[in-house]
Amino acid sequence: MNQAITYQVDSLLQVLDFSAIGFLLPLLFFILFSFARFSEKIIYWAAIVAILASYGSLFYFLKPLVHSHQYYILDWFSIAQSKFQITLLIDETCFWVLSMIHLVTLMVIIFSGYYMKAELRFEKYFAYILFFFTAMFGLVLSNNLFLTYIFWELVGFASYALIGFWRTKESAILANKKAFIINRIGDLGFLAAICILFNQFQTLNIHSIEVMLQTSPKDLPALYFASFAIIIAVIAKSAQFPLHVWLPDAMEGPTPVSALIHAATMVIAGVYLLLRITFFFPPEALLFLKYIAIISMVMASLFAIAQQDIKKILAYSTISQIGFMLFAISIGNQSLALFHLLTHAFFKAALFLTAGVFIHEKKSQDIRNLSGVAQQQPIAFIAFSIAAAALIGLPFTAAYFSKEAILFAAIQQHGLDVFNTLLLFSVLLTSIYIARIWFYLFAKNNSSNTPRTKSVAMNLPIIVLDMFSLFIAFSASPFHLQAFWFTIVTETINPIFSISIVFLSVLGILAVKFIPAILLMDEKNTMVYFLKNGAFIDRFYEFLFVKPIQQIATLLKWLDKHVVDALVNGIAKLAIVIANCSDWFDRNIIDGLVNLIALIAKRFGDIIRIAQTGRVQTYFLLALMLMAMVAWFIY
Amino acid sequence: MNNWLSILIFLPIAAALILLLLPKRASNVFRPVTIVISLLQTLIATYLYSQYLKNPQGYHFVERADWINLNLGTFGRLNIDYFLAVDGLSIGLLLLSAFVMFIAAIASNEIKKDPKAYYTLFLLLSAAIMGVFCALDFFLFYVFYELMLLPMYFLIGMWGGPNREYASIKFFLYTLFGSIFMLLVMIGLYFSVIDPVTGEHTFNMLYMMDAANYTKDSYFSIFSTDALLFHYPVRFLGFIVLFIAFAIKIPTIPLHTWLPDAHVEAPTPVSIILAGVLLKIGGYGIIRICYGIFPEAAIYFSYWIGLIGVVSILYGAFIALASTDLKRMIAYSSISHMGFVILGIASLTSEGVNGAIFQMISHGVLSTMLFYLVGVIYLRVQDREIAAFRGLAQPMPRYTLFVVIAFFASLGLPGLSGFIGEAFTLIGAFKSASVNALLPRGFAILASVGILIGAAYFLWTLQRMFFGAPRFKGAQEWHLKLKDLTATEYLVLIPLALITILLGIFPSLLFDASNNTINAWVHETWIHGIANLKSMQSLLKF
Repeated sequence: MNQAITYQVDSLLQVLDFSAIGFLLPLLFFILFSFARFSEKIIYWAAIVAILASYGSLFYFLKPLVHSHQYYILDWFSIAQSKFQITLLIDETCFWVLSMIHLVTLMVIIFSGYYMKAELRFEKYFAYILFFFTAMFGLVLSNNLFLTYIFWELVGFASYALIGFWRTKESAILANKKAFIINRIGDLGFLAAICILFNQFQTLNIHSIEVMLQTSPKDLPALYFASFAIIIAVIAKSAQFPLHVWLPDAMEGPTPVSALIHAATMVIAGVYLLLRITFFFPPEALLFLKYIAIISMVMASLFAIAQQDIKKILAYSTISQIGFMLFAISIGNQSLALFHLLTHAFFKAALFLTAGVFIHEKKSQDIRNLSGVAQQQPIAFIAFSIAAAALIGLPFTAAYFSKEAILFAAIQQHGLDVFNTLLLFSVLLTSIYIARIWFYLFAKNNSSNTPRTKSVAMNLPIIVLDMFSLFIAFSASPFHLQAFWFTIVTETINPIFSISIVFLSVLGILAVKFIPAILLMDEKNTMVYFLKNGAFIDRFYEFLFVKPIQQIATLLKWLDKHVVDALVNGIAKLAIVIANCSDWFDRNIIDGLVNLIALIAKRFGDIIRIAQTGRVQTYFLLALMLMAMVAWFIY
Repeated sequence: MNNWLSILIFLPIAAALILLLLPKRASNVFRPVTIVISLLQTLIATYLYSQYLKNPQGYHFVERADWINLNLGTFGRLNIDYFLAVDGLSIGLLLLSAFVMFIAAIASNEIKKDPKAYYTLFLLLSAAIMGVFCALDFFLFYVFYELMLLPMYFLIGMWGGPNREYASIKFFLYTLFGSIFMLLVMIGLYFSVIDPVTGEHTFNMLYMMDAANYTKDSYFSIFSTDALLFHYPVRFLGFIVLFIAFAIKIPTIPLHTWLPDAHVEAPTPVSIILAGVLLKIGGYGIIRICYGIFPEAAIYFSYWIGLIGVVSILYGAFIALASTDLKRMIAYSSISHMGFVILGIASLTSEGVNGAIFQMISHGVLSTMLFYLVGVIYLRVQDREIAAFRGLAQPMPRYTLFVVIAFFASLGLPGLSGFIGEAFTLIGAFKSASVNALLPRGFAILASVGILIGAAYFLWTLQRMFFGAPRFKGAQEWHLKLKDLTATEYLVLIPLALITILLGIFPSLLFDASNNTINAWVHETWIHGIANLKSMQSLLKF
């Protein structure tokens, strides 16, 4: 069944070394921070050291193995005749995603030293981040769906813990519950896919399935259902329509958490899973994915335009950008999806962290209150601008390559069909929503003269993330992808096409600049109101699912008490009634009969007693009467 | 030494006798003695478990002796054996029971009233539980089964809450209702089954599982041509009756209403025993006795059994969602979780049944933890209404940590034990359609909705009770009373949490013991069941 896998023992040892450092060290710190008390400084530096050590070992142990593309298998447990194994796949995809995760996590941890300073439960915050890191780490390395599922849920748990980090904040604890439950719907999809695939192949190693499919027909109904089930899981985890509603709420968590989990890493787990698994997807599933992607992109960018909360705009932007990656997968361009996943992670993390600086400075998340920060925090503002340019896909940024390449591939394949028109429309919308933020930030505001904070912990991460948002991180030339280390994507982009896309985006920026209504987004406008509330999808779910489920629950509780249990008590009562009846019967009828007989005997005796007068005359008379009766009988 | 199982059973009885001889004023020795005894039992059970793992198949630690041997004249002889042994099915449950009794003994520190009676009954119960899992003679099993009832009745009825008498009577009658019918079937089986060695009637369960041992014209024989009762084969009725008896124990819908009342009224340690051990006897009995002796009926009714499982999962989950009392919520979540056990068994796949056993043991640990956690706050403020608390994480952060572990393990977070059991019962239920066509795939899908609702009620409770700004019904007074965990409480909770994590990460700890036995069991149940069903259908034409 399982293809024999040969690898050098020392390369396995290398992988184990790497896992020990990258996986167990953060986990150990997580356990330590959860139970023991340390000073803030120790915790901060320990967290940085843990990630740095892991990062180092990534390059030291794993980098040399990347091109061999090998599976590492350890037995875990067996049930019936099937073995469940810990299967790891080391290849370029995993290496690049892992290095992105390391870098972003490191930057977010450094930034948190500034952002979460003097926070109560500081140690818990870092513990959760490290826990998240280990879970994400496992998710990326795993090549066994059962193992992937485990980490898939564990990153969800980390997200739950971190969204609700401020656990006395009402909106936060509602948001994390919502996030977990909606992700649970996706998890059920995942679990269904596991059931289907295990039933079909008796293994959950992705590559074993791949091997088996080479020799068996590909049009199995099982694969059909499994791919749809997987897409449900992806929709929930990657916050796509119609299960996207948890992500904007998740912004109640601390901003660095939003940068790490809800922009750069966890939410892209769905994309990553698809990169690994789309080999068995039938065309219908890919088409379905395409619908989901395009709806999510357009819908989320429309919602983003109508928001005033900077984090919510960025959250919707993430939904839209992940839709973009899924779109690339749906047209069969996995490597471009991976490329955009990486570039997006860096610029979106940069956007969130700089947004964190502004929020910290102004104590508000409303973009209308953020004007003036350009003067107060020039470094952060420039960083924000560069990251925003990357989001739009302007030249000199890294996303210029990834975004334009996906658009070009789409149009090359299908021309300007409905999908691609909507795709271009969402490109336009993207530049509008990010330009709105930018113009508000840039606007002067003389009234605010609060002293500005400066610290390395604040500036270093955003500068580093910005560097990775620029072309230089991926290519030697700003206009042609000349890879010097990132070798996954080789597509060249068409300059004329790219210029027209840039032109489209600039059009969006100009629209914000010259049409005040777009900048203002007045809530009194019905359309704006509708979009701002996310098309009331939340309330629709509340009405359609949450309330009915609660009502069913209440009804069943009532039934349980007043019907099922009442029946039991009724039977018991019936038994008592019957017992009382038989008691009455026993006392009055049975015993009564006995008494009656006695009574009759007594009464008869009483009557006879009358005759017992003791007078001879009476006796004589009686005797005479008796004799007369006898004589009458005889006669 | 080969009478470990007897030691396991008679150690607590001996201790109970000693406790009875002690004067009442020696009240401070009762609990330590009980703790030591149950610790010893746990150690012995752990040793037996590790011994079993060395060669994990067949029956181990077999003890067999004549127990009652009466000449009944024209009825022949009454043969009852003292026959104990464990296999991969029971060894894990035995270890669980010993451990849960140990935890319950530690948790008994809240019992102040009449400790002598309490601990004597406790030890008697412990002996009966061990006996139930070890006995392979039906009569012996029945004796232990009934013996459990008595101490449990008094433990709820005397040390329980305000409505304890109602709850304990309800518990007693429900169980008795089941066991009286069990008695009938047991006697019927006795007169149908012949010991192939001696040629006499026997209560030996292993002989009852082999169709060749039934006398041809007996009621329970599969070769009988007239064993119909109400147009149904008698064997089917025997199965149904036994199933009802064990379904009451588990409990499944609609035989469950004793459970919430018993839990709500029972003191914490008794709740722990009830949920941690007693419910498992239902699952164990179904696998060992119902399915073992009547495999054809099990196959015949598997659709309905699976349906009962699914309905229990959903029904329990929905009512837990609507519950306002924390203990009642956990009681209903128990019903929901035990529904997975039924579903796994009904699938008659190795994954499903292994998963069911894993789920039973995992639930044993988790419900112990959950009921203990409820006890912790009840002990402090004598209240456990969900609405009475808000923001408990603030005054009791460590307590909240354990609640989070227990809740997430119960809602099936991977890495913790609850997930493995649920996942494999579902995989088994799903697989059933293509392996043996017993359960439709829809059952697995419906059951997974139970997991979703499980997440909803646990997280909702967390959000309402533990997070948010602190606000308590008892205002300032409660703030003072709601102190974080004490040393004893840590002592109870830490091992439970560790076991949950350990089982979640290394499920082979349990699967290694159960896998061989269950593989063989599934195979035999299926082969015998189909063969019996064919023969009965051709002879009885039902």
